[in-house]
This record gives sequence, C-alpha cells and structure tokens, in this order.
Amino acid sequence: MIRYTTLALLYFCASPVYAILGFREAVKLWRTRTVLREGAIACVHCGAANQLDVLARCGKCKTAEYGNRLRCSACGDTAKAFDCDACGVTIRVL
Amino acid sequence: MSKNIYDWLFGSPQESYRRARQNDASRSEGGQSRRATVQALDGPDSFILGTLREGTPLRIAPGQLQGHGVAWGANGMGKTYALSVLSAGFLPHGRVRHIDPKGESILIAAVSAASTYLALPEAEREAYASQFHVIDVAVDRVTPSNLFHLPAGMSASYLATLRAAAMIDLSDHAFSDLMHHAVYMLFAVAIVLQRGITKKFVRKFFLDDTFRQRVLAPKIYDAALRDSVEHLEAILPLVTRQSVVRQFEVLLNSQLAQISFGLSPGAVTKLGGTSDPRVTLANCGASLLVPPNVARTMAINRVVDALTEAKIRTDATPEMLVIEEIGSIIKHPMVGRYLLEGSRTARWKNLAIVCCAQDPSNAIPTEPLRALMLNARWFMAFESDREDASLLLPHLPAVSAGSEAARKQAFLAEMAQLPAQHCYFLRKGLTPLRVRTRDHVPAKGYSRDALLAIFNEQIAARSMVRIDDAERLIAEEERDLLGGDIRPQSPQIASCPAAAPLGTVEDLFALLDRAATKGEPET
Repeated sequence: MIRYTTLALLYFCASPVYAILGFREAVKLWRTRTVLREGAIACVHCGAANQLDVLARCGKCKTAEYGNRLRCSACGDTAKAFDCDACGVTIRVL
Repeated sequence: MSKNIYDWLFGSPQESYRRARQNDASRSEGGQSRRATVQALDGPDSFILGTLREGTPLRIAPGQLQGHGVAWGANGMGKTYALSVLSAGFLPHGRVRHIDPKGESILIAAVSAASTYLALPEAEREAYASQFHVIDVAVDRVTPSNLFHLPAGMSASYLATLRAAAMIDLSDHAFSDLMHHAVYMLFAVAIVLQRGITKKFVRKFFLDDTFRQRVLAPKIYDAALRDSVEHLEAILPLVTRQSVVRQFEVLLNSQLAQISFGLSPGAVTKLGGTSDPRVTLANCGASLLVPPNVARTMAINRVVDALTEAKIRTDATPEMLVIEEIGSIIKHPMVGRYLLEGSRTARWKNLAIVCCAQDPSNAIPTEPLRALMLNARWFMAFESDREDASLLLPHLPAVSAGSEAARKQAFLAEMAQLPAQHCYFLRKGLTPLRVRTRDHVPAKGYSRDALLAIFNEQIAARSMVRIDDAERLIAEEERDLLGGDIRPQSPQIASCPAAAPLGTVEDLFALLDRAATKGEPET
C-alpha cells in the first residue's frame, strides 16, 4: 500500500515537469507542422527555397514516389533531414 | 507515432502527391524558361558573368547590357566586382566610364587593368594604357578638371546652374536663394569668359565694383549676363556678397579645390590630357588628400560631365556609365533631375547608365527610384532586405502551381540570405537567373599593392599632371585676369558678336582685337 502511495505521490510531484515537457513537445510539433505545411523550406546556407513535395526516393526501401520527401508512404519511414537542392547542405526539419 | 499523427504533421499523402506533381510541372516549365533566358542573353562578343546553380556558365552579350541598369546589394557581397566584370565585358562593344564616390571600385578596376596590362606583350602595352583616362589625386599629381569648358551647343547658363549646384553641395553651410544666385552668377561669368575661379577672383568679382564694371562686363557678350554683372550691387546686397566670399574662402582652402576650380579650359588644354579614352575611371572617394565634401562634388561634376558629353555626342559608339553610390548624387535636386532626364533620353545617344546603391529603397527618394526602375532594362540584385528584394517581385514569372504568396515569401527569404558573389540577374522580359559571379584572378606573382603601383605608374600617371604645374598656370591666369588681360571669347561662346553693343572703350578695343585675330577688317 505504502509502495503504491509513494509511487502516486511521485507521479503527482513529477506531473508539472511532464506537463512542461509535453507542452514543449507540442509546441515543437506545431511549429514543425507549420513549416511542413508551408510546402518549402529555405536553406540556411544559400537561402534557396527547397520544395518538400517532390518526386523523391525513400532512403530505406528505395521507393520513388510523388509526395513529401521526408515521409515514405510505402514503408512508413520518416527522415529528419534532407540535402538542399541548390548547395547540398543538410537541412534538418524534424 | 501513429499514422494519424503523421498525417496531422505532414498533411495527407493525397495532398502531398498533388503538390508534388504541381511542383514537378512548375520546375519543368521554369527549366524551359531558364534555358530560353540563357540562350537569349548569349550573343556576339559574349563574356562570362558567372555560373548558374547547375554549374553552367552564364554568358552575356554586351548588347544585352545596352539600356540602363540598376545594381544593388549589401556591402561586401560582390556588387562592385560584378560591375567591373560587366564593364570589362562591355568594353569591346564601346566606351566605359566609371564614377566611384567611395573609391573602392576603382581599386578593383585598377588591379584588373594592371593584370591585363602585364599579361600583354611589351609592344601592345602602350596602346592598352593609352585607352584609359584616370581621374584621381596623388600627393604631387592630380587629374585636371575642365569645369568651365562649355560643350558645343550647351547653354552657358545651364552649365553654370549645374556647376553652382555641385559647388553648393560642397558646403555644409545653408545657402539662401540670394547666395545661390550669387554662386550661379560667378560660375556663369567664369564659363562665359572661360576662366577658372580663385579666391582673389571671387573677392574682386563680388566686392570690387570697378573691376566688375570696367574689366569684366565689357568682355561679356551675353547682354543679360553683362547687365547683371554691371549691376550686381543692385541685385545682391553687400552682406550676401560678403557671405559668399567667406564661403569661397573656406571651400577653396584645400589645394585640390583650388586646382579643380582654378583651372580654365585653356589651362587644361595646355596641361594636356587623354583624348577620346575608351575607359574613364573617376576615383571620387574621400581620402587623406581629398576631403569628403570635395570628393562628393567631384563625383557630381563627373556625372554632369558624362551626361553633358553624351547629350552633345554625335558618334554612335555605345557607352556604359557606371555610377556607384547613386544615392549620394541623386539626392541633390538639380543634379538628380539632370540624371533622371538623362536616363529618359540618353538611350538615343547609346548611353547606358548603370546606377548602384547598397539599399536603393532608402538611399534614393521614391520618385527618382521609380523612374530609374522604370527606365532600367536590367537589374542585378545581391543580398538585400525585403524592401529592396521586393523591387524584383514584379518581374518574377507567374507561377502555374502553388501559392503566389508563398513563393514571394520564399524569394524574399532567399534574397535576404544570398551568400557573397551570388546575385539575381534580370533582363526585363526574361526569367531572373541566380548567378554566382566569376572569381577575380589577379596576375600571378604580383601582390595587390604591386599591381596598384603598376596601374598608377603606367596607366593613371598618363592622365595626371604635376600639381606644381597646375598651380603655376592658375597663378599666371589669375594675374592676367585681375590685370584685365582677358582674351576674347571663343566664337562658340560669343555666338552673336555682331550684336554686342559697343558700350565702353574696352568694347571697342576688344572688337579691334578680334578683328586683328581674324585678320579681316571689321565694319
């Protein structure tokens, strides 16, 4: 009984931390979503506008398809970054 | 994360598919128009401006630069060097005149010219160096200015107005309307009599009524100007005249100003100069020898000279006039109007005016900026803020897919982050091209200082004269002028000598002098 009470108390005490972390994660996801929904990302190095929705090949299953270059609809794999079309610099998105 | 979360994050796969197909079609369309643009810019005598994104060289025919241009971008992004590449490429097509109020472009052009000079065989160097006219100032040498030379067909009063405007810009003092008119009168007389302006002459002109009425007025054939000179004390109060004299005392304190304003057209001819140069490099930058206000006035006068020469030119040789830091020149209303008028009409004379500024939206007043952008045929934009980058937006091709607003935002963001040497080159009617301008390759084995020294000794020195010689000539002419020994005016200035009245004995003697010079009897 004491064990469960202590555990519940610990979760209760930690809940604000989880709430903050969850909120931060949600904000980050929202921002990423906003960026992804814009359809293009400017390269931080050369400023070139890189379209996200293009004819792309999945790095894992090698499927080529029209769609978001960071997500493969065949294997479900997601990439966190891609190389700039103009200068080749890696652009981190997720 | 589940599939729904991914859909929420990336959007639905169907939507992504649709946009990807649109982007693909748009890219294909853009690629075709880009290829068409590259082909359109190429032509006879083309030169390489730089490379496109895919690494292919962009060649531009000099004829594509015929028509005014505007170049802008942040400092240090390669604007000046790109302009020197354009100038060098245009040179086989015609003349190039570069006016640089900051003194940086000339250094780049000088290093480039010295490198070319050294690369030539010994026998060809002389001919190459003789193509240049360098307007510059050194410790003991200076390029003489011909401020009072009246081009054929130009009104003396118009030239006087422009010179007076530039002169007033030299001073930080606020000039009243009367002072402005006084300066105009002084320049009008100097131009009509083809004399330079010195401190002593200014004092005598404004404060010595006898000198003005007995010595100067009889030599002036323009009846209206002569009348004004004779009755100057009635037009300008003594306080105004004294104030103008004080201003000239201050402004003509520097040795450079004394020489610039003191040399008459005759003295400049005596000192010699480059005839019909293909390249004119005017270093109008402030330095330890040139105060900033004098430098600015030099630049304004060079612009006036270039536009005036273009107006009266009869040959059809194309010319490119590159004006750096246009904001500092165009802000002067009179000179700004003259420049804008030139931008509207100079194309008939095959003059292409290229205006450069760091941030044109701020440096150039709205109305002149709109006129410049309207009259320009091509643009070159380096890293710019939103306001300046927006100047290109009307010339971007329409999108067939995707949001227009999103693409504009992406373009503005791209312009704000362009690396050094990267620019957008746009010829109106064609697709803008992002170009990395080509690298500067100086002569091997020579440092920058060594190349500048070679340029100064072998090329620039030809256009410059010794300061001692110029001062001696000014002193001689001043002595003659103050002593009343004024040569008769040239037939061009005295366009209607027969109509000149014989008001004084001096007029009679002047008439007899002219008759003796012509060698024919006068009736």
